[in-house]
Amino acid sequence: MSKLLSFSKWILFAVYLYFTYHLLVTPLILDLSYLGIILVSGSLLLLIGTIPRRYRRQVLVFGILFLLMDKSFYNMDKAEWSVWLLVLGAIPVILLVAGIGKWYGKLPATALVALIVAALLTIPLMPRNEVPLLSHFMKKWTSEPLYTGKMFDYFPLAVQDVNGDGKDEIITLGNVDETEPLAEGEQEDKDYRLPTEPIYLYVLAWNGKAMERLDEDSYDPNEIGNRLPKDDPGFPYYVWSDNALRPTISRQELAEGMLQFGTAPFRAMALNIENISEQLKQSGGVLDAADQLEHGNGFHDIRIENGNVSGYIHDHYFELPTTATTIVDGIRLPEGKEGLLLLGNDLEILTHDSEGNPVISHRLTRQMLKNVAASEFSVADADGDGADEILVSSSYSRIFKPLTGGEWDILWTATDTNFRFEDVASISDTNREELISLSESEVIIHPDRFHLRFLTGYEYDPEQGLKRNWRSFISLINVRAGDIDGDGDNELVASIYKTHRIYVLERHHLPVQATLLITTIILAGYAITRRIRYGAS
Amino acid sequence: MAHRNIFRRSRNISVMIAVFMLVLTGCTYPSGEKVFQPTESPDTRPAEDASQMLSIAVETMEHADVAQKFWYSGWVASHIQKRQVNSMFDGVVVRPHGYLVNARVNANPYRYYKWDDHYYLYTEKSGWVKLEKEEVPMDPLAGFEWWQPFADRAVRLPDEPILSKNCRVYQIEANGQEWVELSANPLFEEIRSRVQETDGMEHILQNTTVKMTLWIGDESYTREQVEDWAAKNDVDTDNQEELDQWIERNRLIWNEAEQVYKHHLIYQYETWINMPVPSAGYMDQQTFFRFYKFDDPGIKMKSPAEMEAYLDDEA
Repeated sequence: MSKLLSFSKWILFAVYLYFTYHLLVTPLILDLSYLGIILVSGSLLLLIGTIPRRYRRQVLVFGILFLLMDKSFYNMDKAEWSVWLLVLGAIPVILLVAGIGKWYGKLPATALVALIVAALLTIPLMPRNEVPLLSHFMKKWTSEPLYTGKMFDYFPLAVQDVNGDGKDEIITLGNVDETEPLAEGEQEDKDYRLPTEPIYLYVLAWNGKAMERLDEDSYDPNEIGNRLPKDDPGFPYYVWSDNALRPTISRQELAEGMLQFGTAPFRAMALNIENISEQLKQSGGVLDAADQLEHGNGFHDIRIENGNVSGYIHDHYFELPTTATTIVDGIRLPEGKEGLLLLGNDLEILTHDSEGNPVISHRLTRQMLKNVAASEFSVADADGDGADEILVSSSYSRIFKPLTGGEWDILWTATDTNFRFEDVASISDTNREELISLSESEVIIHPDRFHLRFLTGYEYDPEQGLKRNWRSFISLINVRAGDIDGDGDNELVASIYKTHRIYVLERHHLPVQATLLITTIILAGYAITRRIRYGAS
Repeated sequence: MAHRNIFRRSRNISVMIAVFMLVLTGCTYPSGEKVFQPTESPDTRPAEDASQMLSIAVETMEHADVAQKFWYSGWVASHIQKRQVNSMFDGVVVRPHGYLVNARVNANPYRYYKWDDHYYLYTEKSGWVKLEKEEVPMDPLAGFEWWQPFADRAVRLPDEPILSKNCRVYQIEANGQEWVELSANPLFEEIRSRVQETDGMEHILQNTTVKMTLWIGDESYTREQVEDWAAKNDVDTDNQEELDQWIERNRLIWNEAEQVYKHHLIYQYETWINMPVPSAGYMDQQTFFRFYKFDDPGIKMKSPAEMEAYLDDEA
């Protein structure tokens, strides 16, 4: 019985340590950098000081071994090894940890068992990369990897009501249901072309317990597929056609062609033309078309074709020459005017003059904004004045406000090159719209190479800039908000880079971090009282 | 005493908790400087000698002893909105026999080896595999002369050292449509019919711009340095005719004004293509190559027999 009690106490300690480390310690360091490290080290030294001397080594060794062991199991799991390899990999780790724990840490057998059990259980129950979510979200559902190949790192994702049931569905791409995984050692492509990757539309709906793929007969795949943000994975080496991404070149031809160095840009251009002409063939020469706009206003049935943008402003037909290729969205301009945001080499707002004729009222050129080609643009009323702003996500993220007379105001500019706006929706209990963003931590883990962006909810404040409402130190991509389960509150849908797993996250309003902090204070208080009463021994 | 310590610690704890809560409850991201960020345009001047320099540089790369083997590294990076697709290439060229390519396409690595009529390709899944024939013949200098029809519009940018080698920098800008129409090369001849057949493709090309920049070495050698160099290449420097032939073959050009020989290797080559993409704005695509460590004695390639051993290992 006493052994069971001892085991339970060590398990409890591991649980407390696990969540405190990922939800208090790591955020503090990521947010405050060196100051965070100093604060954490200070607190840790103080807490260590309160542990009775005879237990000090045991507690420290247990804590360090548990966190290291968990990290090691997590890495093994991430490496997608076979079961045998996992077992073979885990055995030396367990033996090493048990050895250090027993002979150096003087840990009792119950502690060693608790240590190993706790580290093993974190993987199926709550892997370390998902723990930071808990600060503000509960994981409502996670998909298996929807894509089985290796060629593509991520696919586009949209959250919209597909079947009019009042709940939003997840629209994305994958092939896990359609393709058999390659057998061990099977060659991917005997002719050394890049592999053709069958890719299908996946529409996932909430069935009350989980997300379930909708039957393809229940929607129009072309119409729903068009709701996905345009993406060109593998461009120009891959082109979409007939539910597959098909290679336009072989590995051999690419290597040999590029080694005719002078021809390299000519070959790149030839591939671009091949790829784009295939896209144009499929669309009948239409560069972009939208019947309705997300920020719906008077503009509808818009098309860009043959160097013209055409469509309707209310019932009035318009046509205007353009170099744009993309219909971004509708936009509400100052003084109640309606605009259409178009993206070409520049970003343009098309509106109408007093006689109803189409005119370009605003233009953001490459001379005004660097990196237009690598930027994404979305529309939102960030300052809440009834007119919309343009959110620019790129290495030069900004919020632009169109003013009357074709002028622009810059409401906010990022000071780092990694900030991205992802979506605009109400997620907090304030019911105000938030700018759901990915922003970098104060700690740059790998300068210039690898920047982790963390999920953050901001509101725009004219005085202060972006006011942070919440932040979870989890690195996600393609974050979209939508009411997945129809309960009237928005969930977040997102993916983790290269995993092709879709996460549905539900916002909770539990004070997780405060609870952990208070628990820590109570434990510290208890330990301090003990020390006052019984001294250091 | 112990009590006082404990109280002091309690106070420290309170301070830490206050800071902790402040961090966890919220921060702001103040705006940076609210200004537009114009793209800087470099200083340029006319470059009447662009056509001639292009030919000299290609000839130098073709014939100079030092350019028979070298290292290279480069990539094609396509930026379309947030999507960036890269292919990367680096390795060595040993003329006239072959080359080694360490490549990545769309972040998937592979390797390619060529030596005379032997071709091998490596992927993680397949290991080394022998290929029957080549699809594109070895000709590292092919394509540079394809820019000649546009050389009359070249501009000169400020000189710039590449890996400490002083270079003249030439730039040619062209519209996509004229690039495809005027550039006499077999690749574009094939593609022209595709452009004509596809509705909307001409409009895409009319709105495409291409900007090529070439860094041509501008190194100077005194007469003595050239003689030393020739002697190292087993040239009898006492035999003026043999020396002159070697100088001629290596395209060392006597500059009367500076009293030095000039040598013009190609060190860097970059092309930006700015091109409309349906429903995705415009693409910025960079094709970049750098050539370095010319005639490096460290350049060694495995023989085909050694490569065959790899195949046996794999089998």
